Amino acid sequence: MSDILGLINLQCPNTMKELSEKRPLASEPFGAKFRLMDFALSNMVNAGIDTVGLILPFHSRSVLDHVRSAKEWDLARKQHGLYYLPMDEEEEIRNPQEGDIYSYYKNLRYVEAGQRRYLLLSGCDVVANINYEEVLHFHRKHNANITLVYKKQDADCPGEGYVLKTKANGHVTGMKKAESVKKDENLFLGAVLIDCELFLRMIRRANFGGNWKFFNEVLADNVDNLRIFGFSVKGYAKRINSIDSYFQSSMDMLKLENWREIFHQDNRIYTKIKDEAPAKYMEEARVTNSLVANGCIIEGTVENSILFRKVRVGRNAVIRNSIIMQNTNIGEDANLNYVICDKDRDIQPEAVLEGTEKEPLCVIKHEVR
Amino acid sequence: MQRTECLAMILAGGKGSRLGVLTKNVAKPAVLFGGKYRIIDFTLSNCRNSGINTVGILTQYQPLELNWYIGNGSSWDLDSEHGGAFILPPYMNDKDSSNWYQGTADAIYQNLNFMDMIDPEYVLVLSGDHIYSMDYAKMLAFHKKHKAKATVSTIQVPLSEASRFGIMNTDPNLRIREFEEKPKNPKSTLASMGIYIFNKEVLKEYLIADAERKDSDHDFGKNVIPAMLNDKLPVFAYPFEGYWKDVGTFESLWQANMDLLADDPPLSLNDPNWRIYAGNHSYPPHYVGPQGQLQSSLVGEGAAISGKVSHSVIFYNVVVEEGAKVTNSVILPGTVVEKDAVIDRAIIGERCRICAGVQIQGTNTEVAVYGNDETVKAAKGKGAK
Repeated sequence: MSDILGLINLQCPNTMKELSEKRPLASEPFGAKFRLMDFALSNMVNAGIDTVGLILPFHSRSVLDHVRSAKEWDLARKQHGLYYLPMDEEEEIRNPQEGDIYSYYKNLRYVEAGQRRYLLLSGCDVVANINYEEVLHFHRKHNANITLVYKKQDADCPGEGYVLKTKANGHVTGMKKAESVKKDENLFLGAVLIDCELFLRMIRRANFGGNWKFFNEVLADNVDNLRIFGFSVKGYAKRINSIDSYFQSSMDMLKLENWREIFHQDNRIYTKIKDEAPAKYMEEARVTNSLVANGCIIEGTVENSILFRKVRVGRNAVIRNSIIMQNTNIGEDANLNYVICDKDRDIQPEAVLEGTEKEPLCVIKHEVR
Repeated sequence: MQRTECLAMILAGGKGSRLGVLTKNVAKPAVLFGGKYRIIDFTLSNCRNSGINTVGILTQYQPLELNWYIGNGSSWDLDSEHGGAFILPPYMNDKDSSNWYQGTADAIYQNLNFMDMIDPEYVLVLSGDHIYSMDYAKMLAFHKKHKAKATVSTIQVPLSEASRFGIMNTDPNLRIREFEEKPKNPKSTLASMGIYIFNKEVLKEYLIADAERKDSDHDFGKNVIPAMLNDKLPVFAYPFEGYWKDVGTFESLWQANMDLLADDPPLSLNDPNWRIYAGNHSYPPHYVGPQGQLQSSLVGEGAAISGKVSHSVIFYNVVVEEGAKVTNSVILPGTVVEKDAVIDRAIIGERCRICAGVQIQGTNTEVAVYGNDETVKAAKGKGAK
């Protein structure tokens, strides 16, 4: 039995409303086959964590449809396994974006019943293959009360985020919310390893004390009282907080070394199995620098693009610098450049859709009312 | 528990000796096919898609990888409360000591206990060696409609090949009047596919009788069906139309793979109403590099293609490096084709390393074949080994 209890908060603010008004960020498709929540779930499972709670977002249909029994993550067990932690009426009235403390408070029973030494709390907006066993080792080595996982930025990163100030040994001496994160700053990736007892105490106190936000109220206030350490992720790690970062991070996967590091190492990223046939390239297909999922049938030209499962590319169609999600048909002679196309769409023959690198054109799904 | 109406028994003990290095460590039903599948996936998917949820799989030769692959049958949705996938290896009982399956009929005979335990009304006997999509529910409906005691699934074959099969003559109602196993001078081109439906009690009776006969080969085609015809039992021929292939040789295995590459292939892997299920490995979508070129090919997950691939079947996790050229070939999982290597008309085994610059060339009559885990520094002599 693992010493760590997993808890994933899927109530991330939806920062990609251009693509989908209602779909939670956790369910956004990524990397030609996956959804963003797959990273958080798989990273936990790969560290031997056998009990994971999912705090569900308000629109949870897509999450439930994706995870189902959690068999793909080997979490469909007789004991332990996956626990869905749904919203209740009261919570619907509160806006989860105003703070996460109440979501944790309401689910403290899950943490207590888990009876583990540590809690690993994670969000669902990061693309990374993180080895949490190393994080635990680091946590113990430093005798830390809390370990925060961060990535030192190799370039400026637009959009707000939490920045950690650390000493050379990793000791966190300050944390703050920043409007945008600069090169060489330490961006907090939303993963916290904390002693369960401490978590329970902190959340109870915070809830009664009227605090709303775990990171920038509760943790930030305790920097001087607790041993808080920062674990630096050395490999690829990017946070998705806008269409821009989503597009950039998707295109990063077209570099062989990133693709290998994120998806093709011993610790795999798991996702829902769909039993599609291998991708089929027809006589006239011309495909370069792309990711192509099973079930695709390609007759046209595809460059620098990402094709999810069951995408059909018609004859003479040209797709460049684009992301085409599951089960979309691209008609003959259509021409797409810098487009993000949602799933289940039909792009008419000869259609011309053109976005720019800075502003990809989003073709959205018909939303069910 | 619901009663099982029809139990499927899959004969999966075949050695597939003509597949040489490809069946060195696995039974023929576990041979890889089509970029993702193993041969037995087609039969198992047919069962699942035909609504048959209880399947016995009779294994014998090199069963480890096959058993591991089938597991509890969950990949084919067979892990249900009302059914299941049951691996049935030969086992010892109190009657005698030598218990290898002596023939197709003997294999089923030795599992009469299992059949009684499930207690179905009908037994569907299948082979795990064939590549085809078939709705067994239609054959069962045919069997019931004709009030048959046994039904043989049949397909028309060219006269030139007829002597490789069990060949039969039927009356206009499709009742079988004559059945000859591998005749020298075939009288018709209606061939048995080795797929049978029996009323369970009738099957049991004939298997017990057959087991006692010392002169019997304990084979369905040679002994059991002729015995039933001899007794004037109503045995019918179910006419199957469609793609059906026994991939017993390198050439036929290679050809069946190539058949998938047609624009409109005779066997569809993409039919949403007839999915072909297979074991899954959680590999990512495949990667095509800036210099990659792919035409008329199938490519599995986790592959990284930086070279030129045409008219080929590329399995999961294959790497084709820059400058390499793969044509008219089947590359099994995990193999690396290094820079500037050239492969034409070949089947390359799993986890091989085809070193930089090596040229492998099959001929029009013989595909070049390499087994698993080989490092190829220079091509062998022409053609297959």
